[in-house]
Amino acid sequence: MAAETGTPTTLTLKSNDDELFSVAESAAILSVTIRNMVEDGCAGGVIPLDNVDGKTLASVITYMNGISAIPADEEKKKSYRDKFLSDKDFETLADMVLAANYLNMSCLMDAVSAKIAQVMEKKSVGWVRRKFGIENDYTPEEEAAVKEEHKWTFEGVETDDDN
Amino acid sequence: MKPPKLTSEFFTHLPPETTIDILSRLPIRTIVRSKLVCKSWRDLLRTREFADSHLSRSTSGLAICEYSSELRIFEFEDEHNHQHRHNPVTGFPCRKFATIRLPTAIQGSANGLLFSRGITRQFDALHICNPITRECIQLPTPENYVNSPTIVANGFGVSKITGRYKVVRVSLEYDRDPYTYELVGITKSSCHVYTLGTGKWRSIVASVPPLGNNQYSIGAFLNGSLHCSFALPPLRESDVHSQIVVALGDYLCVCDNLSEDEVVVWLMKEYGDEKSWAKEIVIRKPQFLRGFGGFASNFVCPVRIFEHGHVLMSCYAVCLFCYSNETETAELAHMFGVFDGHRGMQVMLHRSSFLSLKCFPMENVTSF
Repeated sequence: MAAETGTPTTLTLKSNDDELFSVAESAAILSVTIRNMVEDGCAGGVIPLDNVDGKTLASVITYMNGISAIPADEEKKKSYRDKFLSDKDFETLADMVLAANYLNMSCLMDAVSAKIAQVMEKKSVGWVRRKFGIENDYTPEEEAAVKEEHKWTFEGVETDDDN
Repeated sequence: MKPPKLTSEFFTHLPPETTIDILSRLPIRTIVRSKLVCKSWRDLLRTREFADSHLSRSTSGLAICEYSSELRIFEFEDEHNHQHRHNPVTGFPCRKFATIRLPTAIQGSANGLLFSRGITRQFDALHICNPITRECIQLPTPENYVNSPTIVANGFGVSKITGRYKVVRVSLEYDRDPYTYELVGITKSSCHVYTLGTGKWRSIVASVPPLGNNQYSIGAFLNGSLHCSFALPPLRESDVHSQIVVALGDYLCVCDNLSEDEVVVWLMKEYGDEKSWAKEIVIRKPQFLRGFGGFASNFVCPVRIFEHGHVLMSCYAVCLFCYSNETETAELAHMFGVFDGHRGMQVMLHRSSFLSLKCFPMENVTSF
């Protein structure tokens, strides 16, 4: 039987910190970036992924294997995605959205974006700046003016930065 | 705690469309607050791309106008859930954007823009505002009307063909029968269209049949067209004056509130096919609706259908209630406030957006 269906092709992916991963081609081509390489015949040997570190890539591959094992059932896929992301901390989610963007995986991108938005929902402006490493480029006067202009959105807001 | 490795460069590594994608999923008030994070976010959140991305995934909500002067905006947490949980988004008096203090009615909503009409005997103050971006445009009044009785009806929507935002205004001058004082014969009719971004009204030649006695609105906006409530088959000819047509989901809908005992909801099952009007729901009037029917009936109209046959309905100026098609019962929807019938309460489905009025050239946009 194996001869008829063919041995599943395995790809080797290399993270930017030189970790190697084997993954079934059928799962890996969820990434449009990888699929294009395969179709262009560039997938022989090792595929270097310069923008993804080993820890994140391991996680993405877990996702690739998990989601591709589910038959075409959007409900089940969604519940797998929810479960997959449920225990990820914010830093991991941030790494994953960058990886998903680089690998061009729209379904993962969508799920991670939604999860990040969910985490951000009740956070303060200061928390967002800290977590994303964004520099506050307003002068104190400008900041006060912007806050004053939109003060209706600051009324009665309770943030939960600690969670 | 060690600083995160990648997040320090997080948004510099992401294309703006992905940042837009993430931020457009946040609740409205959180989005507005995010302008304070940094200048590049502030600028990003002002773009048309952001407004479009947000609109494509936002849930709808309600605009409620009380006392003909106070505006409140709600956002449904779940578009389909019959519990119709909701988040108050904002609220402010209409005089914030209207230069003259007038009794105000909301008469249309499209992609987050609200069309309102301040009414006097001599002229109308017409405004388009976005309650979220706090921008407003006052439209010039197309013509003064002094001859009484005149019935003026306005509508607001987006053209399916051109994607442009338009206000349609129909005015009819009538003669009265000197004995019965009923309206007879139209002495003058006109129709004007204002396309946002052109800065002016244009008169269009249209034959306008008698309109219902309807200061409420010109009617339903569906499929990129506005629909007026005249000559609707399910209604008895003489009842046209007390009906309005609304859009309910994908259907045109009329409600018959003339009976003391029941409210009948009609749907046009096939869009454009006048033979397809069908009785969809017959509601036995609960106690709180009794006394609001008959010839001087208040408009009752459905606002939104939720899952499992739950319908949010409004009785003009009186109350909001939720009808369950499954249990055939109606309950007051107190979560949007308690209305007592004296507050000129009006309700309209309204999807909040970040669409800036500044994207319309030729318009004098004021901030409030």
